[in-house]
Amino acid sequence: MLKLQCPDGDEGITPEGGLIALYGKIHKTISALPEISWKNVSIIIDDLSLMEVAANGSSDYVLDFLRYCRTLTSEFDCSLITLNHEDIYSSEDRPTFFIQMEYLADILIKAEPLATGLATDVHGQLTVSNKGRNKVSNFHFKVKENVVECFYPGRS
Amino acid sequence: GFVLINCATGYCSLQLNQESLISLHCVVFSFLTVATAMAAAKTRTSTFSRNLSTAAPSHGPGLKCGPNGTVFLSSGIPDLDKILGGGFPLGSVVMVMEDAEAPHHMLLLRNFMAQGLVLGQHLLYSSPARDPRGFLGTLPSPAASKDDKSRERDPDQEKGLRIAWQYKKYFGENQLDGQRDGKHEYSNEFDLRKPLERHFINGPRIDCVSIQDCPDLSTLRDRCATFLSQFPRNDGSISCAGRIAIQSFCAPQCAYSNMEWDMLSFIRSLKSMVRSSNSVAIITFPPSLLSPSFCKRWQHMADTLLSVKAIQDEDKELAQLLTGYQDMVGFLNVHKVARINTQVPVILEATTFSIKLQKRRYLVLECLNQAPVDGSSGTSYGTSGGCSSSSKTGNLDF
Repeated sequence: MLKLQCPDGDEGITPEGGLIALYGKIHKTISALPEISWKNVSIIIDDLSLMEVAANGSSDYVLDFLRYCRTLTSEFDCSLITLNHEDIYSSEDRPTFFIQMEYLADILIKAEPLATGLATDVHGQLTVSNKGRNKVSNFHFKVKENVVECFYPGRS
Repeated sequence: GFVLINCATGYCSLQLNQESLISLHCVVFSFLTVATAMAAAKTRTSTFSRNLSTAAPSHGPGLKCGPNGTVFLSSGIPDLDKILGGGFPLGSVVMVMEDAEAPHHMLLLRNFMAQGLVLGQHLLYSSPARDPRGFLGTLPSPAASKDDKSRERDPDQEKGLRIAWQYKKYFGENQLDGQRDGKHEYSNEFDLRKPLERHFINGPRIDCVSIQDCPDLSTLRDRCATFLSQFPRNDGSISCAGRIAIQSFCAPQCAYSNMEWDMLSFIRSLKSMVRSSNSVAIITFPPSLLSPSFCKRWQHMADTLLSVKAIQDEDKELAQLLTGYQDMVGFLNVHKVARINTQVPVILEATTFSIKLQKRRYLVLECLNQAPVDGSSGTSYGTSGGCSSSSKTGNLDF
């Protein structure tokens, strides 16, 4: 797992510098793998709202970092998976960051509670929008110890 | 070896040698494909198994083993421990959203701090006051065991009146368990009218920090780091645990209170320090002083998220809807319960509780009970009759 060195006080690491260095590390790690396994690589970022904190609020640098990581998906044919919290941005006047994120994504997965509230049998619902195939699906899910069970609404 | 990476919960278990580190990413993808394949095929089996240690190590006083290898310490409020499934897990951050109209968060803080001191745990307390030590004089003392026993008897009798026998099966098994012998080694009932004995407060295990004059948060961060270095987390038994209590973190009298990103950065670094130590941190803050977007960010930082609300005086509608309204001093909402070493969430039966002072001394939390509908008045209540949980007490929804 790669670590992003977060600037804690003055350590001479700027947010921009830290993110550039992280991108470099990711690129280097994937390049070092045999070419045959490039498409099996998944870059998982958990989560972007914390990356903004690490960048001390410089969301533009985080967006740049995201765009650069996205180029890796075409360069190496790998996957990029990022997580964010919509409710943080919905209270903002200009939720640019979140809109940009949504725009960059090929597949958008929205996880939210059921409209009826919390339940023990169904923990929430997933809405999967696949832009490539122009398809939207809705599932219910239940989180278990080792797996997340997804099923169509009404079944379990 | 096996690999399980679950970034969302921060739970990560790796057993790899140096060479296979490079193939890490390949395994990540295969985990994802396995997970999706399993979900699609609806199989119940999993290729991953939890590595459980066979024997739970014994720990010092004030600590209790929980599920999934977690260790709890008590909040100082036995009812709250029960609601949260045991207490606050070591390594977690608790955040309490204050209500500007009532100081109920102080009740939670006082009991939390007193509980730690009484059991020999270390405490770091920070507040916007010029001399935080003054607050220590208001900490409560554990109730005398004689009072304890009389309190134990009453709830059983009261419960017999309020809840019909057939509903007792819905209570958890440990609700009616004795546990009284080991109880005082883990948690105490506190008498809010009796101040904590001087020798607890003057001991070497307390450190106080005033954040009023700090231009930035580096002092507080350093003090927390020094404090937490005393309780590093390792696999062995835990000799001592620490508690950090930070009161009214974004209070306007603090110089840094308009540095929104800095405060968030502090919470993030505190959270990572606490996660790798045997301690629990409680941060209280008034959400109305933060912008809505930052308030959400703070809430996402919490492992356990609680909020307290004042009760308006003479709210006649509420008085009609709830039993025991006169005895309530406020409401406590449980928004999020910490889950360490597991991704399965906790779904509580109820998330809103009334805060009552029993005999004006003991802090109790009770589920809200809907009063019987007054049929004689002829009006029908517009709100739903279901007794499900609600976090918005203003809507009078149950």
